[in-house]
Amino acid sequence: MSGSRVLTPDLPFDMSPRADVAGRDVKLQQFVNSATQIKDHGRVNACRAAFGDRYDAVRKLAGEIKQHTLDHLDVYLDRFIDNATASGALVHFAADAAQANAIVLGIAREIDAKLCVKSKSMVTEETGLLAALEAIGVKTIETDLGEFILQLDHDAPSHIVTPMIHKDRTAVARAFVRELGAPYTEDPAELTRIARDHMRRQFRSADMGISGANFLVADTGSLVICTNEGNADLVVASPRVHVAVVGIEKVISSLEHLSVFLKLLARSATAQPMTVYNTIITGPRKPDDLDGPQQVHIVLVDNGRTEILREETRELLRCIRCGACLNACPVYRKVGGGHAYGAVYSGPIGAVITPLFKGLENYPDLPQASSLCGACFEACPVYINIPAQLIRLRRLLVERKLMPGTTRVAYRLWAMTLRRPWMYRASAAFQRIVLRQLSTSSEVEDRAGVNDRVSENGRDMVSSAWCAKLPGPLRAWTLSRDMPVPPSGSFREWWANRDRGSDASRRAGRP
Amino acid sequence: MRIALFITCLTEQFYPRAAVAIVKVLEHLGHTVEFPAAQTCCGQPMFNNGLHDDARDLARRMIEIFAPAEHVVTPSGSCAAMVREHFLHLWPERSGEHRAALALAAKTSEFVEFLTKVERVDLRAMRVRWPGSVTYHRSCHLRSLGLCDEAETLLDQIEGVRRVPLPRAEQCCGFGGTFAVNYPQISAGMVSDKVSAIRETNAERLVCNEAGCGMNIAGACRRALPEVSLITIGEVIAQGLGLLPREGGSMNADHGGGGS
Amino acid sequence: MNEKVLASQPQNDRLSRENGRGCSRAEFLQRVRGALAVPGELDSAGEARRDLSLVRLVGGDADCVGLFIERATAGGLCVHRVKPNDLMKVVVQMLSACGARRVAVSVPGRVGQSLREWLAPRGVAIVSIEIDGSLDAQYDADVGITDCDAGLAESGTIVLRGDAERSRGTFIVPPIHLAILRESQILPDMLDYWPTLSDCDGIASGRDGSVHGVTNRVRKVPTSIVMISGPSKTADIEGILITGVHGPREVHVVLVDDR
Repeated sequence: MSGSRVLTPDLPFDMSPRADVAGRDVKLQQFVNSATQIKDHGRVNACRAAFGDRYDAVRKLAGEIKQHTLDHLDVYLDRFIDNATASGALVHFAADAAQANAIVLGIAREIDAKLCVKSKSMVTEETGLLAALEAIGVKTIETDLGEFILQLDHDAPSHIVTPMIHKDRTAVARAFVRELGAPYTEDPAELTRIARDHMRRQFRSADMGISGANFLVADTGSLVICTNEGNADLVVASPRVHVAVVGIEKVISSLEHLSVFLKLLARSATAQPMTVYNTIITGPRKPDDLDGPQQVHIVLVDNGRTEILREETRELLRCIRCGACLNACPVYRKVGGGHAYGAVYSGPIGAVITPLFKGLENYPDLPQASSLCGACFEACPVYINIPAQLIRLRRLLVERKLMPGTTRVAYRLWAMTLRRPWMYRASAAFQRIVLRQLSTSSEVEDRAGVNDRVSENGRDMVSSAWCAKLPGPLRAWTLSRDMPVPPSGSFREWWANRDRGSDASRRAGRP
Repeated sequence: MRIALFITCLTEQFYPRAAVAIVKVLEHLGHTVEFPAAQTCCGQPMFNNGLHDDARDLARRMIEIFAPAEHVVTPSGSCAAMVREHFLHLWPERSGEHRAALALAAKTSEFVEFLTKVERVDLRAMRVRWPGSVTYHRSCHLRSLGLCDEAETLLDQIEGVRRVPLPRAEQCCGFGGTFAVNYPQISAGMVSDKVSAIRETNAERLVCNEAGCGMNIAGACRRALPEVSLITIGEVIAQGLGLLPREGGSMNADHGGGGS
Repeated sequence: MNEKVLASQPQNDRLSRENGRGCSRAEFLQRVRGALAVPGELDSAGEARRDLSLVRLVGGDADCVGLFIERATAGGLCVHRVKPNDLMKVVVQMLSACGARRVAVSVPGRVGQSLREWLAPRGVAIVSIEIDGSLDAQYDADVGITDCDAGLAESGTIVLRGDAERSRGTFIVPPIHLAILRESQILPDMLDYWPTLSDCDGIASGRDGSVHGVTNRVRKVPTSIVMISGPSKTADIEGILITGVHGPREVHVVLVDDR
């Protein structure tokens, strides 16, 4: 499947086929499981080593700072635009993907660009910028090593931070032979050297550098770009024109606040104290600067963010794209990484913002494919309550009648029995009978003698019977596990009978 | 104090002895336990699946039923979280219903939470004795209650308990209520990971206080690790105090009688 | 090309609208305001003025030099401590040890001058970094030598700036980077770095340990500030750590004891 198809599937998107295939792919499971667990444990260790007991308080502080900025985003954006302009940058405004692409293509045409080098920008993946550039004959090379390899191999990223989590070295080797004419080698250091040499030639001859930004600093009009490879530093300074494409939610107010996020970002993403390169760029080359690009363009992108900015979902824009929630999420692990989400943004954050960006009716699975375990909330450095946002989307599924009618009816009937104690007890008794029936008709024997114990009133309070196969919609349960059969003894009967017992003996704590 | 038991639908249906154990332990500690018979379900399945009108009705019902209680104890962390956290989001702040929900939240505890934070038990001092090799599964909802290793601490206070920490304990077991049925392959992958982790401990018993997790993991162990069986911490403590018989033991009140 | 450099923002807006390439600033901000409850207001308490001491990792009383060396080394920087008199000798020795023939020197002032004087007679070619703002010549350099703006003890980080005397390519293009840092430049924490940048009055704010967000002043910051905490790294291929992907594979910090 070509890279672009992976992240732009047919809609509405059904997660199950990809999840099923990934579930059976032993090698993929090993890769994704170990990589995410190492990073997740690493995050906890790094953050506890740095912040100790203050870790949660620091996360809350970071969340509050971002929330404040979003609450007043118009003021801070205004300030950023003024200061960026004063520094000599040209600021552009893209309401949607089409405008964003048109702006960049326009700049490319104006400077007669033939070759661009690019560092990581998820916004440009949203807008499909590279394909748009290619359509007018402008070649763009991804320079982040993982993205470079994926581009070469016509594949798509599967993780926000470590995009090649699903790919092994042999796939890289084959891609290099095929696309670069390089000799076959599986040695990662050799492969990296081949990529580096190839990309350095591109840096030297590129007309334009395209980047994203991790943060926009309102007080100074600066772009902040964080990488471990240093490719962004070459992208922004080697060519004569630098274009930064950035979502509006990246604004923070000051350099001081930047400290908070820089201290959290790398620890949350890769368990490092600091990303190797944190670069703060303020405008193009000044008249007496030694070097640097002659033009800096900043394309501020909305593309659905102002919708998410509404109060109910605003916290989602705090996201600093660290990937910690992806690394913590058991669902992300089991579905083999980002491809199963069928969109640019995967993992827990993707499960919420993708339906918001692309329409809940197009991605109904994403908010439902979660056990609401809360690991994402616990990992998030800016304290986004993702489980609450997932539940909100599930409520919208019901309100917009996107939940199948039969399911809705079943839940309503269930709720009805729960409102009336006699119906509740009757249905429980009915379940008990049915499950006992199914148990004797299955091949599972009771493990008699181990757990069968008689309560003091002579009834079973513990059951050792199981069902191996349930009928109808509950069949899914027994695909991978047995269903316990309820014991025949009931708590309410035990309770009712014991009330007749001696008060004194009960207060003395004897059975 | 007077404690109303909020039994929860899954515990009532599948693990009633776990509720019996809690009653006995609370009474042993000198409390009077009540059981409001009108209780059914806190509405968590409806809430989690977006049927918030139904969830509101059930929540309202529950708040009324438990209003007279001095304190409420429940064996389920997820149901406690429902009351303490999610009930509050069902009505606008400053409404009468919201205030009533706050009042119930303020007096509702999960069982281990009650023992460690309210009662502050010392099981060593109480001479609880329960020989056996166990590993403990921490259910995800304890996160939102602010609990972490309280249950493990309690287990470690019990004489005779040989507890092996469960590897990768932070990974969800895959129950998630209707998630297990709606996304069976993903859920199966998660519970399979959990069973592998249990296998690594070589423990004989899995201690798990959450009925949903328990059903899920025990059901998977049935197929892949049948030598491990499930027990709740309430039952361990009650057995360790001689309030409940242990498997293989007799009915009389000696602590931890025969058997393993 | 020059006209483009000088294009003003209002003109840019007009161009955008005319070419149908984007929307105007006013329209764009209106989209943002539409989502906010009380647009346009920033109450007096609301300048996100918060005590950031919660994130301070190193206090002023710590052994900053010791911590810097420890953490820089943990991050993969090689730290070499020298006395001021030995600086040139050590640099020349390091260059000869790695067989450097061509070196880019982005060190202003007296130290830069001394470097040139020491290197020229030793057959080391100094790559020019001052050709029409391009980094191209530096691609042929074996080593890039820079000074530093500061060191951060909290993370073993060196901070470099790009300005009239300092290239934006020397720390990133050549495969080996040699950074000259004075011990007196080492600050405890990143929070201590920002006050060292001058404000719009042209007065340096000094290291008064202030931790609150200073928001009403616009800082005059250099065009480029780069915080470097290790050699260029990636683990994209199967999580295996490789250095020298794009930036240098080796970063050496020559730490001058000037205290």
